[in-house]
Amino acid sequence: MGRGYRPSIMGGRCRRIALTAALAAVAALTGCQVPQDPDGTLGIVRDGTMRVGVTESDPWVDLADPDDPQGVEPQLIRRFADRLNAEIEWVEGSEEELMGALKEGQLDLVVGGLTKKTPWMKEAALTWTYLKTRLLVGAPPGASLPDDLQDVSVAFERGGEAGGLLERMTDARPVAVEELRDARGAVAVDDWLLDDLNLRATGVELAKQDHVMATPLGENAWLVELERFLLRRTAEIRALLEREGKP
Amino acid sequence: MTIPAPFELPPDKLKLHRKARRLEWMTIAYLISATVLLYLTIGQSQAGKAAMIEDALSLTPAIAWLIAARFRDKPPDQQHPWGFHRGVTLAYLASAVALLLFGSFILIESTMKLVTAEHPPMGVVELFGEQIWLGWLMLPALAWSAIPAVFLGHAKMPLAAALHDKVLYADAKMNKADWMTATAAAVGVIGIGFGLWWADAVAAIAISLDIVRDGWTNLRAAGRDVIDTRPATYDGSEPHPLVGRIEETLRDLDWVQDAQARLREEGHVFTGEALVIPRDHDDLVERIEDAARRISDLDWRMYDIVVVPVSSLDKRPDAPEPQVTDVGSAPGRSR
Repeated sequence: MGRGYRPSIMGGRCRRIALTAALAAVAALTGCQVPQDPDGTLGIVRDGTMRVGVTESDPWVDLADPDDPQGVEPQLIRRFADRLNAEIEWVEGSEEELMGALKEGQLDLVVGGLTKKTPWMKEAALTWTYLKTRLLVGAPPGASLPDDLQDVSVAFERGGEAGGLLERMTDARPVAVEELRDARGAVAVDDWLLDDLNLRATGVELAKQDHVMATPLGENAWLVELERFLLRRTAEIRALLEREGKP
Repeated sequence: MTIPAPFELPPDKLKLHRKARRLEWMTIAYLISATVLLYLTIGQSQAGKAAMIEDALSLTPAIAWLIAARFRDKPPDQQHPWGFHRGVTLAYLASAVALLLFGSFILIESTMKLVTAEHPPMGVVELFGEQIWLGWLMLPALAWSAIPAVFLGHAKMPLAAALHDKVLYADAKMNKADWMTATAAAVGVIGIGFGLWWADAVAAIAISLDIVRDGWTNLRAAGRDVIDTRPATYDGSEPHPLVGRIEETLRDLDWVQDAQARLREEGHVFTGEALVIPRDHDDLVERIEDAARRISDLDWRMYDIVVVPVSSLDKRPDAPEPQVTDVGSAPGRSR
């Protein structure tokens, strides 16, 4: 709505539209890559070194050996680094440390089971969701449960968010257990574990998890390169998760 | 004695009014689509956010106008002796305040982003199995927010002038100027594409300054309505000639020694009082009723006039002419 109406607007409008079109055309014709990085991260990483912050989050990141991180995400990052012909420099830390370093340009990437719900939105640019998983209530085959789980005992891993979600969202009786494997009856479980635990989904969903990775704010060429890598591999990543996620 | 007109708008104006109503409904549908489209595509672009908020706020004049259109014909009753013409002022005032507040908010936020050198992230989205950079999606969304608006604005402008409708005028003007916002946002997005992180914040600041200016102009116009400023001509530089014509008409009557009129604008129409000093008191009631009818016949906008006999007139000091530069009270000055 801007109301600065002058007789010359037609001229001004044409100029601006022309300018916009010209910029877009220049981008297309010169084949110059759009978007670009203000700080040139992609160019530095390619054939160089990728600094990756990792924080423990089973099965996404396993830091049993801090110099050789395992899990779904480090494996993906290794494949990504191969494509860019880059060395990886792993940096271990808490999420807060890593996000601070990312924001200040000391890291190029942070992984550790991050989801879209992460509170670090202002410090980091999150990738498009590369994998969706669900936390749901599973039951042994053949067991019949009421839809609302009224007074059904549902096992959850002690200390996990599932306990609270069960209490808040269902009428079930949450029962804390040390190992989901040992639970009998209904269990609150991540969807990739259903087969391994010989359970079927009940239709009660406790949470959706949209998995993402974090890159520095505004390094858009770098972000897009990573996203394109991840988004073309959804099936592959799912398979990787089934393998890494085995209880 | 008072003669409220039996209808607010004469039949030819009523036709224009119906056309304006159709256009306003189209505007609402269109602005909602533009806002949703932007919401889906702006990602974390500050300029995109500013453009989206502007589109959403552009809804308020259209909605205010349609609400007023529903009530304007409602006849006065015991509770509402002046009818409901004034309701539109309330809506107009509210939308002006909203513009001012939202505009200031975005201005401050964008300035902070520029000062703290916050780089706007903009990645790819997955759409129908294709990965597309968000910037490429945002540009057509911005084009949708710009181009139809300009046509709507151009269609409404002559109606606003013919109907002497301030809200419609402000609305048309907002629509016509929408391309500037969208273009600024597009420049911001293209800037991001070229790695110029500051382009986004600068574009957002430009847009928010525009929103603030809008809010300020409309607030002043609404404020003048609230305090019943003397109706002005199209260009806002002179008093509306109707006041003078009423006084002339009255002075031309042989029983009138002197006369003075004051009018206020209520929606499309004028209401007010005319004070007359009669030479004698013969047939005063009939003469006054006749005078009121003559005044009502002067202009279709003369809706409700009260003629009062008095023994003397107060001379009102002439206030320094306010600088009338706003859009609101100058419906003729469309370009």
